[in-house]
Amino acid sequence: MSALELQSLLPQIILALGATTVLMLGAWYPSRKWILGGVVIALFAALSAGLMTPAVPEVGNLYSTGSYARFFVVLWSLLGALSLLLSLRYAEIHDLPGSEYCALILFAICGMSLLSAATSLIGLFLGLEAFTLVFYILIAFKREDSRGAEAGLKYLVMGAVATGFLAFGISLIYAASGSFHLPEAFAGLEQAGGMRPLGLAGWALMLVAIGFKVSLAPFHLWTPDVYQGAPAPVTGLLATGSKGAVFASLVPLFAALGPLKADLEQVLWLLAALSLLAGTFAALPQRNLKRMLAYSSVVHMGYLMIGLLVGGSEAHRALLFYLISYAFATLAAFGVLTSFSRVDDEPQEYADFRGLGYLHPRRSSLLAACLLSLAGIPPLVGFFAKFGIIAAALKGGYPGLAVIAVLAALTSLYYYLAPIVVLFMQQRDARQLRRGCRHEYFVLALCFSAILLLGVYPAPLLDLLTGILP
Amino acid sequence: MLENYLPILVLVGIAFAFAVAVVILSRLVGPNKPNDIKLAPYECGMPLLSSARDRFSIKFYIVAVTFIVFDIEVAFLYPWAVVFKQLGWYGAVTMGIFLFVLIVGFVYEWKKGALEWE
Amino acid sequence: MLSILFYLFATVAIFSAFYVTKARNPVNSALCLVTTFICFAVLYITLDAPFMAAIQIIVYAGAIIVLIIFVIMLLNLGTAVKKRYTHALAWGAALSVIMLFITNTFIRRGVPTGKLGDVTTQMIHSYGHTELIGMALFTEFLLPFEIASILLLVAIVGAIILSKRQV
Repeated sequence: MSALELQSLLPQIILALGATTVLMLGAWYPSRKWILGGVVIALFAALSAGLMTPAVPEVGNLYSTGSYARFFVVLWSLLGALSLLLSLRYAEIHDLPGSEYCALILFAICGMSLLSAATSLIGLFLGLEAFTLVFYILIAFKREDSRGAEAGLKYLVMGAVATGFLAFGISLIYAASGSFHLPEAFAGLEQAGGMRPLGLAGWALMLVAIGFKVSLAPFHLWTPDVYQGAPAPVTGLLATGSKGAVFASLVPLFAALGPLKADLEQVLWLLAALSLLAGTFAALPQRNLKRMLAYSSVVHMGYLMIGLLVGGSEAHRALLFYLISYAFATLAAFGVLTSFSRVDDEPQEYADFRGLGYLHPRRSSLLAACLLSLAGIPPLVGFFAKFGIIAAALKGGYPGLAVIAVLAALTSLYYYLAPIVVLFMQQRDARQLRRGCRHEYFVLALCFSAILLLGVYPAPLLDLLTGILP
Repeated sequence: MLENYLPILVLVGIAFAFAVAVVILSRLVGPNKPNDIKLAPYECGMPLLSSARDRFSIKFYIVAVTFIVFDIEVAFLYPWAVVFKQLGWYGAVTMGIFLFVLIVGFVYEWKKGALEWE
Repeated sequence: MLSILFYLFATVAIFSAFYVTKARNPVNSALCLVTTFICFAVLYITLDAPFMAAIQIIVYAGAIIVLIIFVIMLLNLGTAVKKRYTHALAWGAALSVIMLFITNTFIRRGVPTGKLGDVTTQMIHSYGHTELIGMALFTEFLLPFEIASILLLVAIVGAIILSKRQV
């Protein structure tokens, strides 16, 4: 571990050190203002990742410092900063300890940026654990809330089992190839043009764990309860950052796997198709916005899985574009829920929203815009994202999946339009909710402009993604 | 190498055999005339107040978790200690960073009053 | 001799692991888990990994079991009522038999042995297992080691936040 390596890892060190400092200072001077300090630290980490040229391409054979990794450090830091800004008022009205909350979110960002930079299986495991451990705590952060405790317990028990699967899978791959480092670890799995049984078993176990972490179809059962029970800003980060970071790490993982991916293709196909179908059918009858978003996220993960399955730089670019568009729209949707939240609870049943569009026109329209973007309505970014994935599926020779994806997109209009109808078309009997604060409006405006601008003019982001893909 | 562990194996074997033998022998040889008072748990001759299966206070939990965390920290110290001379200052600094982070956690815990019995 | 030892302790491990799920009193489950851990420790010793055996005893059979017992006491679970036979049980059994079968054919199809590493039994005997682990931990795997300290810090913070009445 040399000074050059430390310099290359500076953004993560800033995050971890900043979190520790906030934690310590907050123990002596408890205040919710520390959350603003956390925003500054996250922005600082993003700046250092964006502007500084790392001295070494890879730190300790574990984490890459290439442009791909740095892009995601910037992205997760910005997402973390946004969700911290969102949480400022939320923490106040729910009386959450500010410095701990802030420190935990910073640790989570650190873990996510490590995960998406991982070039070794052990780096992958540690990055994943770093932020899952934080989420176990954050989900149950409101201790008086029994639903939050239930969600925390569910995520903890299932997450621990998934971690066990991941560790076992990694150990089998290590046993077969004798290396944790990505290209070597997968090169050692080859045998007569295919994957060795030991490698297949390892990958099967790893896919179970990955499926759990990003809630792919047979492993998605925790999602609605956890989304519903967790505090809204935490759910926002869980839905965007934690799932996104796993996918960001999967892209180089599958790129390193190379032609051996052919052996996994059927399983990946099944995961993608099942996620699209199960998520769609489960989302249809929902009358709770958080649960609906949970099931719809399963569908979105199915779309991302298509990008992963097709492979190649174009499909991967479509995947990352989809990931970013999904992240902004989802974060904004949970941001609106956060700003609507009352002292005693968060309005999330559709009944709570009836006619809310007339009482709070700006935030309601923004929520509608996010939902429309997630549904893939043309001027918004979601349309291009879905289009890119489906085009990639067709080009890559997966017409069946493309058909399922189109059908899922069409059906999704029903469940995305349902809350919008409730917001605007029904007579008003909603209670007046509290006014938002400046921080929340700022975050929401930023997300909205991202959704709109990227939808109208996606070329710069696409160029950037082409540039960073390994 | 493995024969170093032979005494432990022998000890385990003797302990197991002794336990089994005591149970079986007392069953075979000893008289068995139970009544209510004989079957009650013995608490220094005092009459029983309540069931021993009582709910613990949550305060014990925090002690247990703290114990686990610092136990794992100690587990990392063993391999460090045996190669300390070879690593020299390098080992001292790297272990120092590790311990620093954990001491931060310890100070935090102390400050929050988790070590006090409220 | 070694294989007799292996089969002895592996059988005990499997049976006590089974009894962990089977026992109706949670404290009995926890004690069976200790037995399983101790058997694992013995298996580690037969694999020339005495340090892992010690860690298994110190961390798992010591600390983690303490936590499990505490949680059992906290929840005051008592004994579970005996469950009747359910279809879920039959499905589970059928699935595990199929899994066993698949694993068997799977292993026979290819070479199940892995790649040998640099560390040999000779090296472990001459140099020492703990020393080898120490050197690897502080050279090749230094960064994971330091990240582990962050994970432990998060665990401390989480324990205090979730269990302390007044943070």
